[in-house]
Amino acid sequence: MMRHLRPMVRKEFIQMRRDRLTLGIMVAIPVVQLLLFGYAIQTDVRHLPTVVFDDSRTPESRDLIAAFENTGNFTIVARVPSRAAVDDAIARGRAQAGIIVPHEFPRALVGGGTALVQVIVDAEDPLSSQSALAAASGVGEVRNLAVLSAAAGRATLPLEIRVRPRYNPGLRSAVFIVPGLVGVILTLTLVLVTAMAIVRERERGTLEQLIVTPISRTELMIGKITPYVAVGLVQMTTVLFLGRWVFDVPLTGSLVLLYAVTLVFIVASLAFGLLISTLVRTQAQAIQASFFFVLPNILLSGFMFPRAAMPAAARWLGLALPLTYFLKILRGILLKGVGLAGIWTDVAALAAFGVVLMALAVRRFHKTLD
Amino acid sequence: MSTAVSIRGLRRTFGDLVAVDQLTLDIPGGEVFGLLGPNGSGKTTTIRMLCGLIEPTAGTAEVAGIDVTRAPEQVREHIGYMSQRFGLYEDLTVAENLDFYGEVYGLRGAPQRVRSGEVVQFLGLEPRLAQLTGQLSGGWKQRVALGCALLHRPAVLFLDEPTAGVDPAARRAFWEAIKDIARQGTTVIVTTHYMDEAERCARLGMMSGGRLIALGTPAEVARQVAGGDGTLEDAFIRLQEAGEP
Repeated sequence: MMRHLRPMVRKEFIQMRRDRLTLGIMVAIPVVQLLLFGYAIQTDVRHLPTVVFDDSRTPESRDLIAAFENTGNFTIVARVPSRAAVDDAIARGRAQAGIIVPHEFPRALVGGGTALVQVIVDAEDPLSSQSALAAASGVGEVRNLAVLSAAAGRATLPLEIRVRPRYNPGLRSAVFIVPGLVGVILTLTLVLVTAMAIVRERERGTLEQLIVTPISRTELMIGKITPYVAVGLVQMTTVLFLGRWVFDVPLTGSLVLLYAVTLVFIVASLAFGLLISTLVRTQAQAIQASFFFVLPNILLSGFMFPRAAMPAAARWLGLALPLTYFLKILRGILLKGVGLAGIWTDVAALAAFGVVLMALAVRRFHKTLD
Repeated sequence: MSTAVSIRGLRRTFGDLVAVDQLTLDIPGGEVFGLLGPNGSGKTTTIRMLCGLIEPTAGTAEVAGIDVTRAPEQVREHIGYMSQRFGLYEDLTVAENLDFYGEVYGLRGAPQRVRSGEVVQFLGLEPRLAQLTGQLSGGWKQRVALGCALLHRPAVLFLDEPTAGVDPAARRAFWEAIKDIARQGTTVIVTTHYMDEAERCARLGMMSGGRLIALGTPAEVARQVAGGDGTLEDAFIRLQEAGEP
């Protein structure tokens, strides 16, 4: 049945080899994306430039400001003489945070009353202000406890909660991002490249010559995607290797399982690309359609934004994307070392996507010109 | 010789446009048959229907004894086709195109090498084998396309305006090859609007507005359309003038 597959696959490989530019882009994309996402996209914001208005100028106030700086979230860039100057520095963007210590600060510490220390954070970008806000209240709590304990005459705290961040103890965003990047890059290149596949033959006039031959629809489709399965595996290997080497992202689970499941995902992505290919008439349309599909994949799959935080409608929509399942699998295997037993429902979902999409693509593609 | 192509009441519409209508025609085996007519007269649509590239709206057609609408896949084993627009892969070399089409038509191993060698020799492709197909001139491209369409020894060969954009010397060589192919028993069906090419066909069908308006030897067709001592060219011009508002 598949006797025409071999020439088709060989032809695609030869054409891929001749098209140096596309080949180069497909190899470069994983490297560039990895470095971009790995270095530039840090969701854990630290070292906010901070201005200080210290109206008390006492050893106690300097001690407090040092405590703020020691959290690593605030970097003092200037000391200013007034409250208005703090507001001005933040408004102009010279600083993203301001700390105001009142004149009566040391007296409140020893005496009755409450000293009001203000921390102003530029919360334009919620993501970058979050950790600063948390750190600021942390500093306050620690100080309060120290003062109260001393007053109560205790040497130890009555209660301590010790939080253990499992699977990513350093809370580094690269550990979270890189496994997801494998899925995003595969989706991006494979859907796009195959979406162009059939349309390109149609535009160049080679499809007309091809469909008068005895090659079957299935052979034509499978022959077209096979070389890109290989491309996908190479891309994934590049990301995993570089992720390990440059960003120290762990490879905890079974690599054999990982590659086997990835193969299922690659086939599903390629099948989707082929389906696009049968729906559009020109290569330009194919590109548009691919991006229309890739964008929700990046936003809704849980690659960057946690799915748990999304409204129900967005979460449901995410379930319709193969990448959502693949990301769970990737993070499960790479970071937690989960075996097949822990991910089989997601693998089954991916396989179902692959079969349905491929069947739709073959159905949509008629071996006629009209 | 048996009938290579048998068409009964063939019709094809594109929306409101009737491209081919009431076409009935028999073409005997081993003949060079020409479909002549101005642009838009339905020649290409006819050929595409016979190759199974588009479906007829009504009517039937048998090619090499097989119904094209019922068993298009089987028909494909027995026909060769050269589209109007060059349809081989320009980023493959001539040899790679020949290998690809040979294998797609089910040739393998020694038989493939032998047959490929025959075609290369017949069309004189030897010096071009390693060249990228896209870098060839129009004449050479047509020859390579003809070679790819011949590899599986088709019973019927369809050529849709094969010599458009080809220089006169290359056109003559091309027609010599076509005559040889027919002599070996392959039926050749060719569309053209060159008069000198039409004269070379054993029989002609003249199309206008999607219908067959004359059928016979070139001389007979000229007489039918242009009357008395008219030439084929007179017939053609008369047709075109009649078609214009």
